[in-house]
Amino acid sequence: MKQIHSLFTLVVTFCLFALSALAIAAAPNDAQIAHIVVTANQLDIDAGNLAAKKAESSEVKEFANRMVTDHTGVNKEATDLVGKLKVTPEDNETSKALTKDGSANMKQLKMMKGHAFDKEYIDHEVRFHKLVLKTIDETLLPHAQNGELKDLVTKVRPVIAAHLDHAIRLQNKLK
Amino acid sequence: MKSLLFLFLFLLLFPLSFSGAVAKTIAVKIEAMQFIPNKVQANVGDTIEWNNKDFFPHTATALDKSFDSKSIPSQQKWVTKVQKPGTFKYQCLFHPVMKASVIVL
Repeated sequence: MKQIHSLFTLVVTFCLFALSALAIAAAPNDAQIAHIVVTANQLDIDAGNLAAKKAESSEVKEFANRMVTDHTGVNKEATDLVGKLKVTPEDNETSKALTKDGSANMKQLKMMKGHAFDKEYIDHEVRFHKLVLKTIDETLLPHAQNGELKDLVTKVRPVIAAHLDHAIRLQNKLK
Repeated sequence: MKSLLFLFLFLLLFPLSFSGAVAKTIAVKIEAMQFIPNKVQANVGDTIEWNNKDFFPHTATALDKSFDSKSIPSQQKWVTKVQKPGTFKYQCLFHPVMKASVIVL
């Protein structure tokens, strides 16, 4: 009987843990939202810095430089706001997933060159900006509590949408 | 003395009677990847002022190159006086999705 009870407790504990993990992924707090914003920006800056050096096409190079400039600007604003709000960005499942994707992308890009590099970089930029838009709409905007943080995410959304549009144009040219 | 006063008033008011209206400044805000308002109307001699409220640089560049701000850094302004009538479509060279126009009468 004692063993059954222990097993039951273990199952309940596991279920609660799984649910809380889901809840974090679904409803991040402001510290986690801040972390997601900074992480997403930094990943695109890293890929942009690599592409600015390695890209073959001048248009892709220009796009990469633009990504570095724009996302650096957004990150400065995000970092300033985090400092002002005295929030310590907190790592979370969404940030981890983005980082995992970003690392795999960098690894792949470092092995490529020429037209194939340009295509891979732009294809990923399209996927990445789509994913970030989805994250903004489904995770960040619905759960941001602080008004200024929500305003920042609201202002960043059209930036991501414009970058996506730009990336899709380049993707069509590279076909 | 009276004629001198008339002459003075005439010289003072003469330019106004021809210019029709005093030149004005029209503000365009650049924010969230948009030129706001997207379309402005001005008279020859007016000044258009672009104020970049985004976190990174933009340009206001006429498609016919009649004006080009070059890079306007974040939180800075750029002004130009419109000199000839017409419809001038312009865009941000850094972000091709950003398009707007100035109509000069």
